Amino acid sequence: MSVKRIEKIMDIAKTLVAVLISFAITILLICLVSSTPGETIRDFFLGPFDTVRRMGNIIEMAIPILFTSCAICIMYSTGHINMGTSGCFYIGGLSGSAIAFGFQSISGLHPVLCLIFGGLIGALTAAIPAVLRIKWDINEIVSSLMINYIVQYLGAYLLRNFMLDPTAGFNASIAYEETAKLPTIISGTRIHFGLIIAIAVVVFSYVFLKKTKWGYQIRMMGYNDRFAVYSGMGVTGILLSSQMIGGFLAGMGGATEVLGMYNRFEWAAAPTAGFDGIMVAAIAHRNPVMVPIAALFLAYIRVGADVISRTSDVPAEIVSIIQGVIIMLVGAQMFLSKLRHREIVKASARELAKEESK
Amino acid sequence: MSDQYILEMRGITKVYPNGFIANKDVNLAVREGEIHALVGENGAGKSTLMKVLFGVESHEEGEILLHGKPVNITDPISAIDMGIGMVHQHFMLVPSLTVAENIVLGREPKKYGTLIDMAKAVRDTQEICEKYNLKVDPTARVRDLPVGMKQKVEILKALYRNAQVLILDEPTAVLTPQETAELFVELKNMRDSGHTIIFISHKLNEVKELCDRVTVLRLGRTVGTADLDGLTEQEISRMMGGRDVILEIQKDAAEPKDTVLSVKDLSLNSSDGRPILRNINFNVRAGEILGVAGVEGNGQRELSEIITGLHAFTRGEIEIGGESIKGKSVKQIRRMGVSHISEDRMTYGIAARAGVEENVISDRYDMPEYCKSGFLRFKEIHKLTERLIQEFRIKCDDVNQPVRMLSGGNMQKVVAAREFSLEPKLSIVNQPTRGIDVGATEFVRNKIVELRDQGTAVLLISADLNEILELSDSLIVMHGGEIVAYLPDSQKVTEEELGEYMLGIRKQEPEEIRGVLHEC
Repeated sequence: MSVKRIEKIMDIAKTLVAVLISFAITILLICLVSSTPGETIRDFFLGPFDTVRRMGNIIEMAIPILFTSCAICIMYSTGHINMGTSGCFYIGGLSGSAIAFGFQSISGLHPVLCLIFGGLIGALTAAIPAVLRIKWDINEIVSSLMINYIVQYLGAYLLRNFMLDPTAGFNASIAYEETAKLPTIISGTRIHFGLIIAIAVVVFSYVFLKKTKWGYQIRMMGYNDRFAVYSGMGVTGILLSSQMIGGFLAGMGGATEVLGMYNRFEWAAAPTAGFDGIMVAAIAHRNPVMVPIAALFLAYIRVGADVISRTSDVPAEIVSIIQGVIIMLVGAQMFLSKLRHREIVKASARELAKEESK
Repeated sequence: MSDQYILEMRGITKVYPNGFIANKDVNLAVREGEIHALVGENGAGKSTLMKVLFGVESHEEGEILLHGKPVNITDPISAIDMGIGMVHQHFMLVPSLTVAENIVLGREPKKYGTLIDMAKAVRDTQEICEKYNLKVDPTARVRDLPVGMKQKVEILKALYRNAQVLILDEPTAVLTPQETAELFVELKNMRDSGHTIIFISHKLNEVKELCDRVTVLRLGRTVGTADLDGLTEQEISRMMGGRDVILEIQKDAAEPKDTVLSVKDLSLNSSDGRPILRNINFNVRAGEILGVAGVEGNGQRELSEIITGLHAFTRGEIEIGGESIKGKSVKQIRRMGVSHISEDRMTYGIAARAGVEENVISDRYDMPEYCKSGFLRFKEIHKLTERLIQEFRIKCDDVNQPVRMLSGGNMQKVVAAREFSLEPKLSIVNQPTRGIDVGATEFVRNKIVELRDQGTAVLLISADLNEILELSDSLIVMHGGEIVAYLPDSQKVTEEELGEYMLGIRKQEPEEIRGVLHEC
């Protein structure tokens, strides 16, 4: 077995072991806090599959994460950590909503306009930290996190002052035109047309990153930016365009979410989808092909937590512990490194023996 | 009879995380008060073995004995505590601090319990300088020192930490012949005052001159240990690899044609105003190799970065094929037919985590041959990569194997495969064989000559005297950012003569240097 294969297998093993450890901790915690641990554990792991509606919940919850994690895959492949997907997702939802209730259009075209507009605004939002980095060498982790706040409060201001429907009875925008909404595609659930778009986004992200020259540039820059410069690539252009494409996908995800799941825009704060994307992309090793599995997994434990919070005395927040443990272990470079090194030493010794026997 | 040895390494096996077996059952036994040479080709595992001894790398098997007792060296701090000191090939000094500050760093003399006693640091430094007859100014800033001085500071640093066993990893690689001679006197002094020295080198004449005994490594294994008395260089050479280490490259006389690269009045200052390049003028013609000799840090790096577009310039003019490169991007310059081997392979030459294929196409991925309406043409790319792997004899599992898993020599072959395969008009080749094994060195050098014979103008920058003298047709010498000599026939130059120019002891008249413009 080659070293390359061992590394691949160990990467997968690392993720699986991380999941198992986090599950073990979850079970332990449930046993500690619950008065009916057996039932709660069953509900947590199997509850999400009890009804069609709950299974639908998993898919619904995964849809926005697919958008944001693909956005992260593209943005992070440059080696620059833009934390702004949360803001892009939020502002995309808000902008898409504006088109959804502010304009009349025919049913096929209307959502398309909403998604494109939401995407464009998302792209512009993601461009800000990239431009700040290029112009003044400002750390994009900090600037993008700050921009999330700016975007969120700007959104709240716009909602309160320009979009509010006083007759709604709560802080929400005017209702969307019927033509703008994304139809439900599986009855008995709320799974909407956004699923198809999300799958298209996953395929696009994979092809873009792995098969096109633009994706190649992005990846080479991420591997070694000085190598990219030395080879003749224009790294500032690559950085800006990759961040804008990521922002576009995240913004479009926000618009898709509001048009598929809601009748009015009612987000008082940015939903978790933006940061979920970072987590899912990390578990998927920034590979769009692995994103759906990781996104479904995250949605599954979320739904499980949701189930037990209603049926038992364990709060849904337990899911944050699972997430934390998995991310920590997957991200930890040295986790299982001894085992990995032992395997590589063994493989090399075998290679050597083979060569010598020749 | 292990008690006569101050240090023994037994059965050391070291496997790197990429699966490379750098040491396999290596044995080394060093007597107290001797200068022990550790020789072998590049890639034979000398540096790895010393890193294991100094606690920089852990080993999988084997044991280390100090004064006959097994010891467990987990990191450099424990190695230093046991009296082992190391002078690395690449100096580990803080350039902005003074000599004394560097020497006491981490073991500063204290006053009032907390404050650093600088006066005592300077005194201590002077004391060991005198004790070992190493002349360095304790208050000078390290960044202002020449390479030979920096090395003395490194040695003093180890002595200040009471090193009994001193490891020197290819100390002469960066030195001129004159500095080398000085170093040898100092090392012999240290031996006579009771220190034990492990001297790593692949230059056999040096080993013969300086050392008492020698251990030879080959392909990560011990070949043997012997007294140097009565051993000839040829015999050691045979132990090392069965080949003569001084490579002789077969080449015919150059047939230079039109001027390809012309550099006129090029000057450059650093950001803090120090001159780096002063009024540089030279031409390189198609079909010739112009060597640039010089101690590193005399402007060679900046020169190659300016010509390839990585570094901007304002004063002077550079033309390639009659066209100015002022204000042009790296890509534009590459498309004018310029290729570039960077002196810093890991930083510029490759993307270590990317595959062989991805590394090979980085200068041509967007050419129509390999890219159609934005999509990479993988069939063509595979074909190209397979061909280059064959042609450059790159040892790898497949085209997608990450380059970081390859040996240094094979990494450099990946770089050469890319840079030499687009029929360049001009090739800037900077330290092409640094730190790679002899087989790969020979291969790359032959490729450079092949390139020249195909009509490429080659600018070869190297600190390796043997390489410069063997490969170049004519050469210039740089010192302090200036061209101090033009030597039209490399065959007629001696290392000593070259050394004097490199050190700035000798300088030609401007008329002589103008010969490099080939005006008449």
